[in-house]
Amino acid sequence: MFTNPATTPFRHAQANLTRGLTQSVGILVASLVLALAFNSTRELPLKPKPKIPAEFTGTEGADSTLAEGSTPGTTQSAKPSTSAAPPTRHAKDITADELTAMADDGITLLLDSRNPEDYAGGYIPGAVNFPFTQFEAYYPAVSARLLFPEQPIVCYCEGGDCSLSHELASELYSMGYTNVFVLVGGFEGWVEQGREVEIP
Amino acid sequence: MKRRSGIMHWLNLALSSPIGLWIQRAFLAAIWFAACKDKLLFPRQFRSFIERYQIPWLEGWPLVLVTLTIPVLELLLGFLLLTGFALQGALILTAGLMLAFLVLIGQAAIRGLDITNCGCFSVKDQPEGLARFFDSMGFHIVFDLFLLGIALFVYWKTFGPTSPRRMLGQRSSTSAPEPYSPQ
Repeated sequence: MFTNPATTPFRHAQANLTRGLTQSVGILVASLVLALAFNSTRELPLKPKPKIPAEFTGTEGADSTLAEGSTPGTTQSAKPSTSAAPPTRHAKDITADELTAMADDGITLLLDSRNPEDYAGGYIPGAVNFPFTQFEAYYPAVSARLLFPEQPIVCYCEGGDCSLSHELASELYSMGYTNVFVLVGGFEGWVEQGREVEIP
Repeated sequence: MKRRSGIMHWLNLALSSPIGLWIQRAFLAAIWFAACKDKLLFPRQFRSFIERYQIPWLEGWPLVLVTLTIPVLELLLGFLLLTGFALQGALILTAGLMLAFLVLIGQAAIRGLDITNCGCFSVKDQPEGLARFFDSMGFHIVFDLFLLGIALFVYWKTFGPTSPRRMLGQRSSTSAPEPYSPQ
């Protein structure tokens, strides 16, 4: 019995490839199990986002629990765009005038979703910094101000095109806070209108 | 017999040596460790980055599973590449992930999606300075190709038909193939 030196190395390589593919499947399964286990130990486990409310999509069969008891605001299109903003929307738009009127009720929570460095440069009076980029780190401090599911919450970020406020609003909505708004024009719009800014 | 010389020959020898191959694996491992950190710490932000690629079927639980699994997989691959345990699988998955990232970034670029930060390393919304460059899609197309090349090179040199392990007569732990029997 003898081996063909020309073919044996390739058969070894083939055996290695088969073994590698089997290992790959094992590594993928192990990663999935570990990821789910790790997620279940988090204070805020990651869950799928709820369906976009009907009033934002205009489609039948979507969750419409957001509509009741909400304050003025225009709807936001859920149509996918080519911008950096994510396609999902779970908040209504609110103008600076509407925000000013709401802010006096004592229960509206104003959240600045920008990074702490931007917040330190100035923010809308009464706003609490809750950077979406560090959601898990800031949530414990902000959660004390989240009082009840229907509490009006207004989020804003740098300008009118930024996505952080929408992402924060979407996340809060998925956590059960159904009365969430996004400030039209963001912080820049607020400043351009000559409104008061607080500096820490 | 023609004697091979030149920088490419010596580079190939150096990169194919056991220490050269280990250094390349360590480099890949370092990339995976750097890539998984922010994604593990801030899964919500990472999910929002994946959403920006606007993949129609990737929503709900599939999106959550991908968001949670990718950083853990990256971490695991880093350890496996470093230790050499299940190395064939780790190298194949490294190459596979690079290919998947290339397809993802490429389709986003073709569709004209305006993604400033690809979410490959940092999950900051608006990275500045060098971070902006290193997280740009253009850089990552080139960089992922480079990493894909390293993964394939290391695999070929370690487990391919011309690998030193093969040449030295060291068998892998797989069962030996059937000997060739002429008819």
